[in-house]
Amino acid sequence: MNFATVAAIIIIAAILFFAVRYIYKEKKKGNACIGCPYADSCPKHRQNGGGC
Amino acid sequence: MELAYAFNKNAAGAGTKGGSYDAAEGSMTLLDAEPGQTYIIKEINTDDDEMNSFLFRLGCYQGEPITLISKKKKSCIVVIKDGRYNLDKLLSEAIII
Amino acid sequence: MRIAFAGNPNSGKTTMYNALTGRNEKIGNWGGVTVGSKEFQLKKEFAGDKEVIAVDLPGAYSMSPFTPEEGITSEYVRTANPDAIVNIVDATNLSRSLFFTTQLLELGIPVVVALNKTDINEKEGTKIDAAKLSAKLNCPVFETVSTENKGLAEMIAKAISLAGTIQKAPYLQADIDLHDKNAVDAEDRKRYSFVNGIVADVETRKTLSAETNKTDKLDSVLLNPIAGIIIFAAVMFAVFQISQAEGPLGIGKIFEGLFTGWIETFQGWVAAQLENSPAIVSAILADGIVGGVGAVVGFLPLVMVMYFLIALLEDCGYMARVSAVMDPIFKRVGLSGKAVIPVIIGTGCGIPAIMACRTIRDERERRTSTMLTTFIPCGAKIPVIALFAGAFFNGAGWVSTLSYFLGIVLIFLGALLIKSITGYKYRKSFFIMELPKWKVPSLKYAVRSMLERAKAYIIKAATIILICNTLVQVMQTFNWHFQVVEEGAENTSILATIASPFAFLLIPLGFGVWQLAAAAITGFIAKENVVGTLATVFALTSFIDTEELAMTGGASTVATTMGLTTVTALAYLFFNLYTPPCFAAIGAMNSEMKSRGWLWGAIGLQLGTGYTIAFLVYQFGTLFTEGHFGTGFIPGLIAVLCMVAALILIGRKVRAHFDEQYQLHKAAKAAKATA
Repeated sequence: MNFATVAAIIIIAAILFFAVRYIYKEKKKGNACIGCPYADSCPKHRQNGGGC
Repeated sequence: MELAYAFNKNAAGAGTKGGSYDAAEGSMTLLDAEPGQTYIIKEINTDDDEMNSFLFRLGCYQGEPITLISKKKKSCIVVIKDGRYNLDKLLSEAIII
Repeated sequence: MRIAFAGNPNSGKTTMYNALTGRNEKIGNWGGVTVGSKEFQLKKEFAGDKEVIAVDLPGAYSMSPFTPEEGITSEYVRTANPDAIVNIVDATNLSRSLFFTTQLLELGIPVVVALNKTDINEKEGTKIDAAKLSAKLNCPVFETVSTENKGLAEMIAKAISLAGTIQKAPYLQADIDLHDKNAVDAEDRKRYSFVNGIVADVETRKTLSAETNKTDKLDSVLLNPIAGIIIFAAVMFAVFQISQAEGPLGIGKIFEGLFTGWIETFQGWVAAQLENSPAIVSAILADGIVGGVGAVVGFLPLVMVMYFLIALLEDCGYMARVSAVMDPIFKRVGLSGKAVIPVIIGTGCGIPAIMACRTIRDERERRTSTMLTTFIPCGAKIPVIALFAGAFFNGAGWVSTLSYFLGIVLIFLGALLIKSITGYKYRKSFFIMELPKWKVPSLKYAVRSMLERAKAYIIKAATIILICNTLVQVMQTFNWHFQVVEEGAENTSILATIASPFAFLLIPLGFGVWQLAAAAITGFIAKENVVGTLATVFALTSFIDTEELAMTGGASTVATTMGLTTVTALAYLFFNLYTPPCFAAIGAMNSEMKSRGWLWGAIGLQLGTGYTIAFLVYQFGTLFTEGHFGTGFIPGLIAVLCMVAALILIGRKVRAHFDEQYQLHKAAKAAKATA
């Protein structure tokens, strides 16, 4: 295994880790759908709402 | 002050095709009116209570002035209070002046 | 502490909210932009040490709701007990706004009136005596201009200081039976005459609203049934040309060229570094992460230019005019002019478009609009369109124009279909739209809105799409025994075995290859994924570089790699555009429709439409270009006919139910009459 491979694996792991962590954090905040620019205005507090 | 203005305008337009608020001349709908003239609403007749009360909240109810700005075949633009609105044919015909 | 912002539609509540909180919520120059409540902390400079939450509410004309979004406002101020209310009053239409103000003043919650848009009044020579108005209303009144931050600090400071006090109402509704229509009417009249009295006292006007002015002439052209529609078509065409087509106007394309160039250089560099590494590492990093995400991000300039232009359109006041001029046409298919606004918003993103349907009063009309609005290609579909236009049609501008035009046609056809299924024959559908004053759109807002959306786009690409691409890459590298699949045995990979059954269904559409099926499936997570997955599974990003393709003969090269001809490419593009939108949008549909039946109907209709359109394009396209139908014509035809049959059956069932209800209704009436 050369240096580039090790670096690449570390980079892949880091990128995936941060992406998953971001999604996890957002989910915890209550944003069910990541990347939805309207997550804030989702009708989650209303009954029947929260589909998105 | 606004009301007075409306009445004056009407008096001026009385000579033209039924433009005045006069029961004797009969009533008409907005689509028969003259653009640029101000009329007094005689009756709102949409057969829809909610719609009537919505119009009421905009200031469109019996006894209030309404100005026709322009009209097309199927719609017209009116001034109610200080706002301009586009009305479709159905609604224009439901407002009797 | 909570301060609610309430007032008439288009009085500038959200603009004020944005100024006070530093948020960038959607604004626009028509009534009904905000369709849900939003809350955020006030900026420190306004709130001081206190923690103050501002709550932005949809516009309302009164406490009695007419459309669903108005109901949110009256319910909030009645039940949520905010500590104070800022009542934003459109100073150019005081006579209408104060009706709602007097109702708010009755709640007992301290109210501060913000007399907004006073700059327009100054221009028009209208004077409002704020001190006198304050005395008459029994509450503080401040002159504000929220677009320029004028008067906001004093106003909000007063609102904060009043929190907890009890408001004395200048006008109290008499104790009447609220179910007695006549009593309510008489009471409302009294309220209006009270308001008229105040207005006559405090307001002097130089220009009367009823006088015809310059903008009326403009409106008369824009609202002309023929000229108005031609102008609207021209405006939208210009928007698409500038943002997506090549040519002297194609600003989006110019930036895109730069952008993709950098990304490809970077990808090349990464691949070169990993020359001696195991193929899997290079594949994941260079093809999956850099290539896949880069393919999506490369189209960012197109999306940004599009958002910028749409923000300008929304801010100037044109939307209300479009809605009015399109009303007669939309009426013919059982919708109304109100459905136009969601469609235009839908060119940006389907989710706010679906939510914007709340301003439609009639439930059937509202659900129909919710169901159909996503047929207009959204911002996330721009990369897909651009990719196919570039790779197969030499970057021709007509591909994107055709996509939008076909979207509109499908909305019309869909509306007609739903109209006939739901047995809707005749119901009075009124249309009234306030025509707001024209205004010069704010460049600052347009830029901010564009950057905000760009940020969301990048975050989406760097999280969801990145993970999807990595998974796709891993799934196509390994087989079910977690061994690396050998060259020539790609069909045994996990991805291939999952996607193959779906691909089988797509054979009559001309693209029954597992790679394409996989891309279409990942598209439901986010439509940009179609591009990302294609880039990953075909290990190709150079096909995005349209200029390079033009030199190497383009379409044929890509056609051999992807196994697509121009006809099948168009069919595949349309399939991706008109099948159901992403899951997030389906979720929004679910929460807006509040009906399982309608939701499944919507998904079914969208799947059926995407399938049928792709089927027709492929089969008839092949017939024209090669003189015979494509593969799988008979099975595809059977599938399409089955869908038609299902539609007829559903329609029958729904209508039978209606007839039953109608009979019951008639019987009840008859019984009443005889009794």
